[in-house]
Amino acid sequence: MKRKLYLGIKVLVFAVLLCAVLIKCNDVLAVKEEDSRITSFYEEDKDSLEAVFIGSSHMFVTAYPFQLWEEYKIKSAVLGGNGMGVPMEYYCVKEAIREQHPDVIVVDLYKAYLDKKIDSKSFAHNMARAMPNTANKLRMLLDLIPKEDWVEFGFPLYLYHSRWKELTREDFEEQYCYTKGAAPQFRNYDASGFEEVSEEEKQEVPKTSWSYIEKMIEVCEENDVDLIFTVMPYETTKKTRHQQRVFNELSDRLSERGVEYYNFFHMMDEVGIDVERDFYDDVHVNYEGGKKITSYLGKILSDKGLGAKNSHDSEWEEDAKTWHAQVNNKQITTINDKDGYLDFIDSKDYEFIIMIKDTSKFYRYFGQMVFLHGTKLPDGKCIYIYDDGKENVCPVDGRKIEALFNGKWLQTVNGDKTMMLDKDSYSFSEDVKIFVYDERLDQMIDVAGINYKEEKVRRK
Amino acid sequence: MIFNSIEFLIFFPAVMLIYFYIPQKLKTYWLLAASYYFYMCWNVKYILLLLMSTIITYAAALMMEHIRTHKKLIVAGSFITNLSILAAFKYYNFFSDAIAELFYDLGIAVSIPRFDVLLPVGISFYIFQALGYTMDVYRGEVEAEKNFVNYALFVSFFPQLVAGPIERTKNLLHQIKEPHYFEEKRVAYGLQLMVWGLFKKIVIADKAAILVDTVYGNYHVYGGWELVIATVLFAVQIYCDFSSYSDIAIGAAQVMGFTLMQNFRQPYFSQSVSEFWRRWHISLSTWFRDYLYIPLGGGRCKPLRHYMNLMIVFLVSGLWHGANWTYVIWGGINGCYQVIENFLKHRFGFKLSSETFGGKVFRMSGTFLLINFSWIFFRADNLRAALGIIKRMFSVNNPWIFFDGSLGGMGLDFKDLFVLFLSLEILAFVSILQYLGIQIRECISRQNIVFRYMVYVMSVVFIIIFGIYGAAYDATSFIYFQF
Repeated sequence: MKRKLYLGIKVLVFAVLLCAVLIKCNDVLAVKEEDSRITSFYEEDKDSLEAVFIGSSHMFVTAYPFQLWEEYKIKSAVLGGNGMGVPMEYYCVKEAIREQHPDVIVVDLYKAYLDKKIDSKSFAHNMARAMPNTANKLRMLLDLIPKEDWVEFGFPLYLYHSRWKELTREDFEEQYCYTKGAAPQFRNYDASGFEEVSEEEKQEVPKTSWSYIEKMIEVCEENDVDLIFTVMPYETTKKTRHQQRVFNELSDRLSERGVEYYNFFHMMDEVGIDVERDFYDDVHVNYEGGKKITSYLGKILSDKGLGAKNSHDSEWEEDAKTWHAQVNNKQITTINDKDGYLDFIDSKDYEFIIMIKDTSKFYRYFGQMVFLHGTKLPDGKCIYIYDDGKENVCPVDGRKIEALFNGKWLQTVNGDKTMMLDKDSYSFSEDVKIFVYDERLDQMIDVAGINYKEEKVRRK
Repeated sequence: MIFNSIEFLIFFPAVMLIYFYIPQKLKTYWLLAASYYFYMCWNVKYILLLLMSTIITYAAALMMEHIRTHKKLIVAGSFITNLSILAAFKYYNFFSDAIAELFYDLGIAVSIPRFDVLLPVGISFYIFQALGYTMDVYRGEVEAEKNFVNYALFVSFFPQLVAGPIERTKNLLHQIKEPHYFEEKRVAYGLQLMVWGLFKKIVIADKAAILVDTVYGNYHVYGGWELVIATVLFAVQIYCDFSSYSDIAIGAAQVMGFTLMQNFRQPYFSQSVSEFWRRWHISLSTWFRDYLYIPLGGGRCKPLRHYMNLMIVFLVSGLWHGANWTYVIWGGINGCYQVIENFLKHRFGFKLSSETFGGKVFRMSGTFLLINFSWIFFRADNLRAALGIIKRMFSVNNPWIFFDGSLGGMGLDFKDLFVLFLSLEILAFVSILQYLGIQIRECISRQNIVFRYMVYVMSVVFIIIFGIYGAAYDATSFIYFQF
């Protein structure tokens, strides 16, 4: 008996050890494209949110919780996944109710035109991996995932083990999301091809989608949660016109069920969406468009009483600053004209290094920058470090600037703040190279090269 | 189900756990049920073939004991019936196409219907095993097994059912009748051997297969050295693929208390082709030796007859491996090697082995080259491809591929190549230890528990991370399953 017990313990120890190592390997090897954005929802304090936004990229690029906070004092978050279909949204609604029991859940029905449970297995993987292991997740996987794929969902290493060749620093470091699940996009796409299909044109809502929409309605009713459905606008083509017809049909059916539904295809003027300036690509609005839709939704939520009881919250205030830093972080890389770029970095609270190949021409082109007034630069190549208005000018010759770029400020023995640059960054070909560092985000947010006689900023 | 599949990872522990908990008298029935289930996972209908072969050879053995005057007739009938089943499923199309081609070359148009049916997996193995039993009973070396369940399990024992080792009656049948108990060390050794087999299969063999398939599939665009590398890697692939199956089979059987015969003994360390065939696929080569070569007269006859016997055995062995002229030629080449070696040995006293280190290395390298050359025919899709590969190997000299990064363009990138070569180093290290008679599992078991667990965990993790399996890859079938 003793021997059996000893054997059992040895087997158990081995199994635990092996599982621990495999779980760690899984954490490293799994694709973490959306993990932090989804897991950030689960990091919120329980029952602290008044509204939760659920949906595919249409939702998480459009709804901005920090904007809702600043404009209406509404506490909210986005639980969104790329390509999330209506069936998965149902299970996310259940997640939201369990975790937060919010007053309102807003669900985007972009994928309502599909008559299948899963559109993309890889997107389903992203969502499944980031969700905590709960009974709801198990039910979701058993319901939506085909039997032949259960192995890779139950044991993700089965799918991701070959990623060892692609590992980067981000795979080993924990990633954080500071945007409450939102992911605004900043590029500008001219969606002049946008077409509003008449509300009279309708097409039956696929059975699969409708069955899960009904489930969402029921579960919200059972839990006394107000449910709002939306459809965000995008540029439909001849091939995708039928999608708008389904969205039109949804209006009637949801109206019959007494559920609020906002089809933004028919509200472009009301919201003020500019097809030339407010789109990121042919299927998503950009930050400008998202701000307008968020503001509109915020009014609806505010009218329902959300935000009324919230006053000053230092944590939310502080996080909102980080949100703005994130937005700036994204915006900076979309600025390509030299003057606009210099104005941008001059106006923000950044720290940066400017590497100059020939200082004799520098002021002629960079004199507009406020902090440069009064600065004395040596002849030839130099590195100019700007840190809260304190200048630190170092000639390049005779200085050892080496080792790997780590994106952080380092303090030298003499107390000079300096930056470690790799050979690639150091051997610059442009006249000026700018490294922009955001202290709030604690990361290098942009590296841009500028030639004096060119109008555009260069990036790798 | 194949060994490197999730199904087997669930099947085997379940079978093993129940096996150790049920009473001794039920163990045979349980294993038989598990073995039949295992086979039916491939194709439900083909269980009838397995059953038919089992019944025929079982009945034949019993009849031989009762009707001694017609023993020859009975054993011949058993052989003809079983080999006809094998021929029908495996060689019918091959021979019908060959005959049609021959008539075509003679200017006669002949249409012979083809038999389009999937080859039952493992048919070459279990039929040979069953025929081996029949022959042993005929020779009076063993008594006929009266208990059908015992005999059925002997033929269908799942670890070695579909790709060997081809077991002998004297080794396996009595073990089926003996009691088996759980023994921690034996189970641990068996599991370790299975893990080693999985390492060889999914880390080495399947990875090498990617490069080999890429190059052999487009041989006309690759130069001489790329073809050489692919051929050498094929030698590694086929060894690891086949020996891994044997390791997993032997390990699985060991877990349950059965000792199967060793099927590979570091074959690429052979100093002659003769020695190679004593170390490679030992169960098949000894089967052919005992049931074909010796009945033909073996080596106890005039030299010319001896050489003819060797050629017959190797040509048949080639044909056993597949219904394609490339396999026959492969067998013929090996037969020629054996004939030449025998001739040199007996006529000129040529030594087939050396005691000096340098001599051993020289002979091992030479043997490896000869065997490797024959593998070209084994692997090539057809004779034309084989000859095309050989021609390009000797006519397109491109040594720069070792320096200009081309090595990363043969299906495996440099990271995969690094892992492959690291794995080959591990394989070489272990093989050298085994060649020197060092019992690795014993050595590991003598270390403290922390070291042992580190080795076990790292082995499993290494296989899981660097193995070729999963959704991104199709589960590669063991090469020998087509036989």
